[in-house]
Amino acid sequence: MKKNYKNLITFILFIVLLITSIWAANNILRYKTELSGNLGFRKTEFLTSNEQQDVLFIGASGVFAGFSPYVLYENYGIYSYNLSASTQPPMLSYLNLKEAILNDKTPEVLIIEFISLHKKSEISKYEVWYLNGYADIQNPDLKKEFKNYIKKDFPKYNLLNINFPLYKYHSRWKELTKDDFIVPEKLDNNKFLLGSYTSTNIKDVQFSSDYFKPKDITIEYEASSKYYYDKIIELCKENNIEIIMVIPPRITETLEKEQLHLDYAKEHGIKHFINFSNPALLSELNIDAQTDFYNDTHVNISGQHKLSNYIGNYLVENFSDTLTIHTEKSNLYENYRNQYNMQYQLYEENLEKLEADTH
Amino acid sequence: MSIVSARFFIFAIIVLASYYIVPKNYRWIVLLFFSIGFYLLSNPKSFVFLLLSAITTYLSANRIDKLNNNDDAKTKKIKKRILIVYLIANFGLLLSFKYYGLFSHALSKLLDQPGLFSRLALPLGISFYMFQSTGYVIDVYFGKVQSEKNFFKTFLFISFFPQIIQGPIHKFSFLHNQLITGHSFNFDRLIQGFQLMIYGYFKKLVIADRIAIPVNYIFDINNNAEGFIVFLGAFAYSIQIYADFSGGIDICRGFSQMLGITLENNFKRPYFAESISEFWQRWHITLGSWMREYVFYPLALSGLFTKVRKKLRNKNYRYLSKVVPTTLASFVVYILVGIWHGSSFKFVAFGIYHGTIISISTLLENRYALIKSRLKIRDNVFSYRLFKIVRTTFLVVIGRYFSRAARFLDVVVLYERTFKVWNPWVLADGSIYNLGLDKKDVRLLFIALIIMLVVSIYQERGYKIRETLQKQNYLFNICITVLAILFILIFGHYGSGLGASDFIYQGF
Repeated sequence: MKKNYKNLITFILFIVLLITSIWAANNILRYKTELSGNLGFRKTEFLTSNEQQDVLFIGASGVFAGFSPYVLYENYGIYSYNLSASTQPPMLSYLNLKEAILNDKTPEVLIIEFISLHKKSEISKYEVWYLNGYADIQNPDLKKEFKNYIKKDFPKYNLLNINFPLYKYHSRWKELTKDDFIVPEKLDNNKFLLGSYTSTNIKDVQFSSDYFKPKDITIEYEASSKYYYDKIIELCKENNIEIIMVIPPRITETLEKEQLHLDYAKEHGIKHFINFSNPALLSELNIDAQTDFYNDTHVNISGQHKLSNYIGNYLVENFSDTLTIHTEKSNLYENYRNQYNMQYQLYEENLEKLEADTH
Repeated sequence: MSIVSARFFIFAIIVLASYYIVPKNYRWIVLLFFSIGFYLLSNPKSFVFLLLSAITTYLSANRIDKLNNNDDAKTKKIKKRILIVYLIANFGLLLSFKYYGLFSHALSKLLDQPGLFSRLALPLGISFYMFQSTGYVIDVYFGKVQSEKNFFKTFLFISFFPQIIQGPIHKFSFLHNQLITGHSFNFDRLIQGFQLMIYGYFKKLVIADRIAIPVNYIFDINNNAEGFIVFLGAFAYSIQIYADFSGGIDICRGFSQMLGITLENNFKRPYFAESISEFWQRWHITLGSWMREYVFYPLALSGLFTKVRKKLRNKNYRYLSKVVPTTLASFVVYILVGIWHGSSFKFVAFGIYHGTIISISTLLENRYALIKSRLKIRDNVFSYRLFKIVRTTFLVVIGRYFSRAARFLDVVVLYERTFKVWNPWVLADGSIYNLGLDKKDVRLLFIALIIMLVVSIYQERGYKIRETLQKQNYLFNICITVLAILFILIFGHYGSGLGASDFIYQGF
């Protein structure tokens, strides 16, 4: 009997030690992308915050870099959060929104970009983002739902990569760096403010001469992406969430893509659509191609400031009945004040350097 | 289902749980059920051949056993006929599968109609279960064992799943009772079996599948490799095939041990052998034992060989009369071993190569002894042992060209490319990092090889590593086991884009 107890304890200890070691190895070896690696941390911050965010940003990198919840708080008293991530597949946008709702974080307004309306987020190409997105989902039922969608969209995909991440990542032992051994919370979060990505770099981008001129091309919906966007709209309708469709500024946008978005908005009765890539709006916002971008498809902190102010005004003008304008100070948002100012200062220094170099 | 897959782990846990939950008397049924299940999940199309083999084995063994009670000439004749028909049927089927590819290829070429014949895959484990069942029927024929009267128990003996992929090949007297007897749960045995499995996975996933990359690069991709690089490739292949085959056997033995069943060890540190004949006593031991018992002895003691012995003795060649018949018999055995490995002529040549070396060394044994005594060479010292190990390993590596090259003609080309070019600097100038593995992988491989070497040295000295671990504090034992698992999970060559490859001997 005594030996049986000893064996049982040995067995339990073995299992505990094994699971803990595998969990640790998973975390160390997991591929960390610079821009989306800590969505898990951001999501925890959002889901556990005491503030009730009225506005939620969801989408891919354009939204991730384009809108600052800090600016909405500082200038308009609006509580918001950015749950976007670099290359966020539509399915993950849907699940992130659903997770927010399941955690009583239902927003009044959803600001979203349907970037993949005409293209499929292939797992062969975006595997890391899918897997990181899965790791960042906290609700077990949503994790299950994620796997079901993967099975549906990519029947040949090996689910072992999801269920047992070491299977996918173990060969990364050759590329490990110091950062891999640091818990995500301790990583340099200076650039991640309330979920948004804030870049201080500057790139002079060139809009082509035929930018936004009609081209002889046809763009159509992509079925699987549309499936998840439809589900997002359905979820919003069920939960009385207003939708603002946006297209962030990019030199790669076209008139045809805008038309596709307009058609989609019309089809679903979405009243609010703002295309920040439209030359008229770019001009109205005074978006400077020389100083407001950090690469061809993303705005930097200066561009982000302009976009965020525009959206702040838009929200106040159109949703004053539903949004709460906060005058009291929030710890969550105040915590980022220094960080934001520091980033902006860094940007200005970069700008000065650039101007000095030019002269 | 590969034993290097997640599915197998789930399968193995279900088997273990089911085996120990069911009452002892019925545990063999659990084994049979899962053995059939394993085969159907792995190679369902070939199940019919396994079943056919079990039926013919069952019927032949029981018929022969019944006739064993009668000693008259007529009964003996019938018995012999049954055995011959059984052997022809069994080996006929085996040879048909093995040589179908060769003949269909030759025939299509002759008729100038490529693709005339469809490809025929070798049924999983056929070379192993055919030999095992044949050994059983022969043993019944000679009255060494009594036949099993229950068909399903016979079927279990032939299909026992951990060993069906690549052996070991067992004698009925060794394995059958172990399978039928329900074993009690034993925690220590479970741990030891699990640790043996881990060591098997280490050899397969960390060493064999990683070293396979430069081997494949040298032999299949880079047609310009020459000199030391080709020799290095053959040397690496020798390590690969050992780690692959013995790793697979360790996994099977370990899992069987967890069930309370002891399987024979197929390897005894073969690269520590001091001669080629000793190498074959340490490599694929159960195939060697089978060949010795069912081919070598019957052949060496046959009428023909007895005549040869007598003739030589009558002509006063006393030494030769002793050596020649056994040499000839072992020569035949090695050719058969070569043929067993595959239908291509390169395997026959592989057998001839080993048979020739062993024959020459047997025939010239006296001369060697004379030379050694005249030169006053001490053969009981470490340096001489080391010399013999290096020499034997060199000969084995040279012989590996036959089994690794795609065709026999390629072997000649590879020898030419190896020995015509003198380029030892490639071992030091970084060329080894251009063979498909980067520096970190090469370093990891060296560490893994050193671990395998140290373990082998300890085993050779008689240390029982797992038993020693068992005697330590249980927490230490757990930590070592967990670390070993983590090592394999992180450094194993498996997963997306890497993929553990099939066992080499699975294809024989």
